[in-house]
Amino acid sequence: MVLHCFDLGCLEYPRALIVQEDLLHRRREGTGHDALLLVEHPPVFTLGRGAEEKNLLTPREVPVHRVSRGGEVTFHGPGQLVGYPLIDLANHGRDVHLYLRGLEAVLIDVLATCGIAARREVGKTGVWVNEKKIASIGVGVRRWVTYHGFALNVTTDLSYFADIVPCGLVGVRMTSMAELLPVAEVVSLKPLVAATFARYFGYKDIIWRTDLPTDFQTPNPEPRTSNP
Amino acid sequence: MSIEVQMPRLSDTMEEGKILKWLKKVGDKIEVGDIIAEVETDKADMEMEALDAGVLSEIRVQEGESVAVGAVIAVLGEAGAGVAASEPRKVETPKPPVVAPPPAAPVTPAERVPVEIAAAPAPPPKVRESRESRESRPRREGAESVAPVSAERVSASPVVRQMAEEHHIDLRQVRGSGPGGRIIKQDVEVLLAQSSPPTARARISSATSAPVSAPASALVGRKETFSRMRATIAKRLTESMRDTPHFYVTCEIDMSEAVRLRSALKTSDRVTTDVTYTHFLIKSVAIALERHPRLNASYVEDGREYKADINIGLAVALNDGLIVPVLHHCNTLSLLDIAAHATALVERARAGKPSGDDLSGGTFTISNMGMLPIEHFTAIINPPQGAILATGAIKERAVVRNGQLAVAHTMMATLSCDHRILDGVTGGQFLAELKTLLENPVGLMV
Repeated sequence: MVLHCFDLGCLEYPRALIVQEDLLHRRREGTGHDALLLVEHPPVFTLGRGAEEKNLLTPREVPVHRVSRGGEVTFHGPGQLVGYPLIDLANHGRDVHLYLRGLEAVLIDVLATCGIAARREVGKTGVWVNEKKIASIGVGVRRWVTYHGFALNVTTDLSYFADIVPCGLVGVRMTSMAELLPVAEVVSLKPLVAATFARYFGYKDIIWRTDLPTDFQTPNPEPRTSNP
Repeated sequence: MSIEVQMPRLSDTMEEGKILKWLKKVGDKIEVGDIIAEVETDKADMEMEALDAGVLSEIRVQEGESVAVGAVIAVLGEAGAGVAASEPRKVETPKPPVVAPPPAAPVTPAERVPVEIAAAPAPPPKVRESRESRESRPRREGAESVAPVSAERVSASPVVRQMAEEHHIDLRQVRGSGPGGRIIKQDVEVLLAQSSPPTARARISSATSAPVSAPASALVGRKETFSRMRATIAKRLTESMRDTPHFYVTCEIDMSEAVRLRSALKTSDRVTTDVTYTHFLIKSVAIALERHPRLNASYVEDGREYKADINIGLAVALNDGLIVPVLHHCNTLSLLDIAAHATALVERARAGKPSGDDLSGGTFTISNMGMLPIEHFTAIINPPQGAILATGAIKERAVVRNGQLAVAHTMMATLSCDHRILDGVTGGQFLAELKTLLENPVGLMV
């Protein structure tokens, strides 16, 4: 199996969502491949389907999007490495919990490589370091193809999280790799995240791609369901 | 005929799911493959597709509510069939007048998970609106007593009927694999795949990402990746069997007094907790462990480590898995305390919501198969513990008392011991103690 990795650089949340929708559509049509999108977003709050508005405390001048993933409110912003795997779980046991645990394992492995001992918390999906949350996970599954994914705080401005109750867990404190390491940067982590993901989910090869279809470049905030 | 839509199993470890959003409302026409709802488990949000066509006639679980896997979340009614046909068609196999909750025939979860089927959008069948289906249902049920059961009566959805018509398939010859023998789209597709030239077969298989299975059979060769739980079980028990020299001792325990005591407790006004044989077992094991501390110990490098507490694990079966919630400090608890705590503990664990140290710190394990007609069995020690007790069903057996044949409720108990820290006699003495305690259960009450 081959994993196609797309480094999208910094992309606005709605546009990254369009890319996901498009790849998801292609994957389902049988013309696409299993893919991993790696991206940073400008500051944005997103609410999962189960999210309650009350968990958004004092919204700043930051856009808010409600999205079709599991989970509660979260924040994305510069310095956070966001990964959106679009993979067909038919090849991975058709088990969404197993997939969530797999994403946790990948991130724990990445952090261990960087010298951070992270772990799971039973019943609280995500990745934790010393009672603080370093990575959030929330996924969507459509006809067993995954979208949405994980967000690893590298040099994220954590003060934004003070505005929300992350994942609906009252009293959760967030942390980042920068709080724990002298040096941390998103760019250098991307190959490690991709390689660890590929190894864990059994992909023999990674193809790094920059050839996004041109229509992704055009601003189009409306989610699209069909592929022109 | 109505079709029940169940909460799908999206993971081996999924116990319940939450309806996040209904994308269809009552009265909406549903096609196979339509996304009808979004379901959440853990932090995953799954779009749920319809397995059958029909009209959404009832929503039983509202948005934001959670229900167990397999629970009925909605009901699809028939959308009416054969509207434009020149000759009248019989529509339905008569259904028993009572709308039975789950189908009587055992159905494996995989067969019932609607998301398994990702069908290509079917051409919309010519159907009339839902009103007709509602009107037609009582009429069909009423007709049951008059009309003789005819071979022409076939249970199938409009989509299936249209497919059959297009491909000149006689539905009476098709064996349905859906609920109640209903013919589902997959059955027709399988039939087509079998009788079509390779090109047509390829087209069909590309239209469905789900493996095409033979009708009326769940036997599909496939590899299943282990859940984390299954992988852990495989790893730990292999280690245990490889590294721990097991030996086993079995004895028959007369439970007649325990049976009497239990029914007395059941009828007592002063005891509101349901005290089960498992609770008697926990209490008596706790007492026996206090008197035989070598059983409450672990093998460590060059020695035996005695445990300060008596924490008894209870093996609880899950779907394709096993967890062992642990009741802590059993020696300090009364029988009624044990009953209350153990019931809550097992419920928490089954619901996938263990708290604190519910799943850790066990010093001894009980595995009870009394709910099945099992005479006796041997269990594998749960490392690093030193022993595990396996109990079979309590049943009436012929026993000899004072040279006389009598009937008594007895149970077989088998103790598996780690021979590195325990010998046959030690295990036997423990089991003898347990036998005495359970055969005189009034002592467990004080």
